[in-house]
Amino acid sequence: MKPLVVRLAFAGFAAACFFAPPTRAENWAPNLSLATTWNSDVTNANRAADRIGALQFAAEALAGDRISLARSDALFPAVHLGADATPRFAALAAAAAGLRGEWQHKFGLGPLAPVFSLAFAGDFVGAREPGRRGISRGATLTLRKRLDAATRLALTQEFSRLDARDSVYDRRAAEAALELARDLTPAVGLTLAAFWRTGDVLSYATPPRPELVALAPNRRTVDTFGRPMVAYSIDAPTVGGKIGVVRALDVASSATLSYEYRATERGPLRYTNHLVSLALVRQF
Amino acid sequence: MLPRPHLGGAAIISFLLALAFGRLGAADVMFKITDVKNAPVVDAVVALYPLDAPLPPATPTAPVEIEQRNTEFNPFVTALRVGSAAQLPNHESRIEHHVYSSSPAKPFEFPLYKPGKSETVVFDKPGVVVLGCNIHDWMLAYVVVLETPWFATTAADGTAKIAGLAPGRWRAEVWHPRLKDAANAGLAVAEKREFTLAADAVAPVQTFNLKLEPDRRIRRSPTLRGAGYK
Repeated sequence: MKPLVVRLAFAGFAAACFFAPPTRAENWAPNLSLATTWNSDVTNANRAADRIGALQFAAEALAGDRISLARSDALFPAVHLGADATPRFAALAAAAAGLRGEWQHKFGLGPLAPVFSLAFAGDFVGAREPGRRGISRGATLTLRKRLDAATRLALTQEFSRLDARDSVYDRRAAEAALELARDLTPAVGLTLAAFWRTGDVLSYATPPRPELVALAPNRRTVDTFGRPMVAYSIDAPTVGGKIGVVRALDVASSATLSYEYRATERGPLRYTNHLVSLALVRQF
Repeated sequence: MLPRPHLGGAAIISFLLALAFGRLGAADVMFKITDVKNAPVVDAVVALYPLDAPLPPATPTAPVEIEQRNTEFNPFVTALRVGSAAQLPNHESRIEHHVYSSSPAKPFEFPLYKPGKSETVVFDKPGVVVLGCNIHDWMLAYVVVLETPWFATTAADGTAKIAGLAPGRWRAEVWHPRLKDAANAGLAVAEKREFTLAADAVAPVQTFNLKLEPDRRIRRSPTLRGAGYK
């Protein structure tokens, strides 16, 4: 996947943000997001010499519709497009296109009634590094509940997998998340989230690392980061938390500034990621 | 959208009625509603009750309209008399709604409410009826159902005028959605004041200074979903 595609996606999103009217929030209209993230450890490495920080960009578009099934049930089919890039390391550029489907049930009437949803996702993933290309699939169970007009709670369980051309890039994971959002003013909100994940992580290290070899049946020498490193695919648990401030720009768009902490540990593999992100979301 | 039930038309009708019934002493009363910072308060409902005479019997009126457009109700606050009807047209191009009220004064529900559809609701009990959409949680509107025919809703400058009032003692009640517990307690939380209208005298402006709660409506703008490892 050429970086030009990624650049065009960002340019298109930025142009759309500037020129589109802000109040056409139809069900079917695309929901676009653009995020810039500083990741303190894109290599997921536990030795300082291998730890590399980098700026990452991501753009996503989701265009779907709402189909009422009954009084309290609805389906949300959607088309998904996504792209992400790390300018410092062009090899990490990737893009995805696929479908989403969600069934939603609301238990009662009113904004305080809990909502349960079951969502499926499937994407063809293209990447500059051929080994990363493949098919990703996921299923997500979500229970959302408003505690009052200003406070929302969401409990999520997600199962995901990526079947890549090269097995070192395969990923299977299960992740549970709890998110609490509170509107502080009509325009500003605070989001707190905690999550726990088990599954494959990709950790890069300069060889030799015999202690990682013992954990990683799938590994491969790569030059993704401009020097020879080994990518180790390791099944390891990750815990993390996130705090974000959301600023509503108008009824159809918002900006979120967030900090996320992740800690991954299995035996000798132990690393942390600090992520600072600025994201824009706009519904057209 | 139908005009709010006050001002010009009502004043002319009241004047003609006064001519017909020989009540040329009828007066107009202007209200000015502000908050504790003296900022004008829009969407306050002012209602007047005569203390020296019974309320006149209800007469049929054309239904008011509360539309759904751009995933909002419009107007935000509607005042009407007991027995009046409201039409609730869906003026969206593609969006369905699920309009409902759980308020004791008028519980109702219209699920799968498609564009172009319009339902009519008759409000037969006094009180405050909160309208919502079960799909779009931020959609909110209030219908204030009153026993009196003398009422008005404040404009953006915080003023309202009620025309054609007979001399005598009156009780003014002012309700606003951001009064404390306004949605649950309904008209019981209205600010009240009695005043006397003298015959053939210019009525002074009635000012009310309301203590309002912060605006805690559900925020509408989209947010990122999810958190965690990517």
